[in-house]
Amino acid sequence: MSPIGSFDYHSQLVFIEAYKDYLKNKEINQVEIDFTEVEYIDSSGLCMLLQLRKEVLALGIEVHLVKCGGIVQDIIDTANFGQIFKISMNRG
Amino acid sequence: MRKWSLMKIHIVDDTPGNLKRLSVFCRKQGFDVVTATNGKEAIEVFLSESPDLILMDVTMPVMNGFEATTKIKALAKDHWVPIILVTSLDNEDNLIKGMESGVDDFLSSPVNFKILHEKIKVMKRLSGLQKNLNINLKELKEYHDKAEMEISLAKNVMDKIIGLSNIDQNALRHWIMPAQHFSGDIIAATKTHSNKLYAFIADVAGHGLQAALMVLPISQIFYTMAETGCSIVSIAEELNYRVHQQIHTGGFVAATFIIIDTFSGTIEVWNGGNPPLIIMNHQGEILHSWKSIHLPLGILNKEAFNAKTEIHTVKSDAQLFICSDGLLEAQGEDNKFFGPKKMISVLRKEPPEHRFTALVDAVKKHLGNQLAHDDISLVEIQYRPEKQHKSIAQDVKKKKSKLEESGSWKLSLQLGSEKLRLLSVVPILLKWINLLDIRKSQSGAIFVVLSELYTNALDHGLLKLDSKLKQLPDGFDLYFSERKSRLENLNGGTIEIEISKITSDGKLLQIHIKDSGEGFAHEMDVPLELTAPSGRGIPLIKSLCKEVRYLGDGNEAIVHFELD
Repeated sequence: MSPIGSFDYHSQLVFIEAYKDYLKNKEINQVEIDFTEVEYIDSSGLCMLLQLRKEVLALGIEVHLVKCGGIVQDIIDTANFGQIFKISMNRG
Repeated sequence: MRKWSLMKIHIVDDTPGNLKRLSVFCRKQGFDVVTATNGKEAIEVFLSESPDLILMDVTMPVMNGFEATTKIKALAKDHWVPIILVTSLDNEDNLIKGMESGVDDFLSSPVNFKILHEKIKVMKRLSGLQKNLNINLKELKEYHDKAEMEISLAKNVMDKIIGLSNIDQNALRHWIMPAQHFSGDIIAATKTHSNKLYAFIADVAGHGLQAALMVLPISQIFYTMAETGCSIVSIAEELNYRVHQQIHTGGFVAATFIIIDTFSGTIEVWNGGNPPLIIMNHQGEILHSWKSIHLPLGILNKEAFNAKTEIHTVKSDAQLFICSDGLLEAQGEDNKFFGPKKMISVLRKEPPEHRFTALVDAVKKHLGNQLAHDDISLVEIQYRPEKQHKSIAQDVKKKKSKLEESGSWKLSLQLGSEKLRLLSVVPILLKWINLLDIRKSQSGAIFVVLSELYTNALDHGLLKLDSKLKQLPDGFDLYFSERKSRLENLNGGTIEIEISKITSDGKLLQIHIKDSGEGFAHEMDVPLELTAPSGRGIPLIKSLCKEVRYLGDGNEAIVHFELD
């Protein structure tokens, strides 16, 4: 999944609908969220990730946060989400 | 507006012929009719008769129709009274002036009665709509006012509960700027009796009322635990557990706990999800920074939660700065974040006493006219380690850590007569014991043992009350009134209590209690049936404890209680 722009309160409903749709596919063994186009993430955004993680863990699937850069990386680092998500940083 | 048949029509015209024609027509329709022959009179009639509709002529002596319309509309305020201007429709000037003065409709002169009839019908319908609109508006305004009032009331209550009760304003300064009415940010601080400063800065995910609802329980738990001197580890564990249980899926609370012990010159921190806490000396150098190394509260369950703290020793005077991410992420008109670099450069530039206000000003300036999209909070704490007592402090620390390692602890208390009179000792003791490490299932039994021992020491040891009193009719009343008066007059005498957990020989709770009285005949063989309602409860204690021993003349007792 590749969200774009601000990953915050306003994108909550859209995101939840999107991943619920996505999870209907039974072939999935990993969920990857690509942060390339994300400029900002707030606490509601972090909440959404936790919510996704909870639902996905129940299915035995891992969540991978990829290409986090700039302020998004700082915010995810501050919350120490590395302890519960697989994270790869944007090195480019 | 009244029912169709009861409608009151106000006709204003200076030409007697017109006035008569219109009046006759309206009366024939069944309307009530009132009249006036100029604008001034029209206003008077409007005030005295409150008509439902006005037919207004333009040119009249004393006051013309436009002026009268403007004045009537102003007098009517929210109550809508339709005014139909009777004028020649090809007079553009009159039409414009009419609209400007607030006329609702026009009727060509001479009046066509069929059209007049239709216009009255339309106005009647509009009037109904207007009336409903007014009612809705009024209700809406009432709701709004009520909500605003409740919010300001709640905010007031919250501010008081969260208020930093016993902290010197110079020692700790804080600033909270909520993004909405309520802030989901918490700043709490308190000083313990041993002069340690506990501070807690938290940021509940989300903002507004939903976030603020978490604020109350969290800050209350923090205060209760901090004031009794609990460790950061236990406070963090407890709060993580509570938040984990209470918060909806995906919620969390970023938090920083700080204990400042100026006596030993140490600062202990747990930071989960908040920006780094920095300590800056007077020269503007950053001595240390505690980054967030944990997940915020509420994400991990009890077992997975990591409460490890970082302790740093700082020997010189300095200032601590803590902020929520709302400050660093404050976006100005150029959409740029305030950021940590700017924060530090602002702080560095200023002398210590101006740093706090300079930072607040800088953030406000950065925001400009933009509203912050997250709650912003900032705390500054003055840090002044005590220099003289280093050796003692270290000594105390060593001893303390030895005790902690072996899992045992000791609590001792000596109370003089004044405190004995005023304090409810047993609940206080029990509270402490529970905070150490007693299972809830056992605290009831411990309470009974402690109460019995304490009652023996106070009632019989110091107050010399005879429990036989209780066997008389009305004995209990007698006993308690006697107890009350003796307690009030108690002068001198002490009770010493020492409670310790011994781990060397199984897990035992040892309670040692000693009063300065003459003792009592503890060996006396008291039949159980007598001890049940009154007595000295010794058999009861014996039944609950592994071992009960009396020393001295019976003014001293040691009991061992087996812990799970």
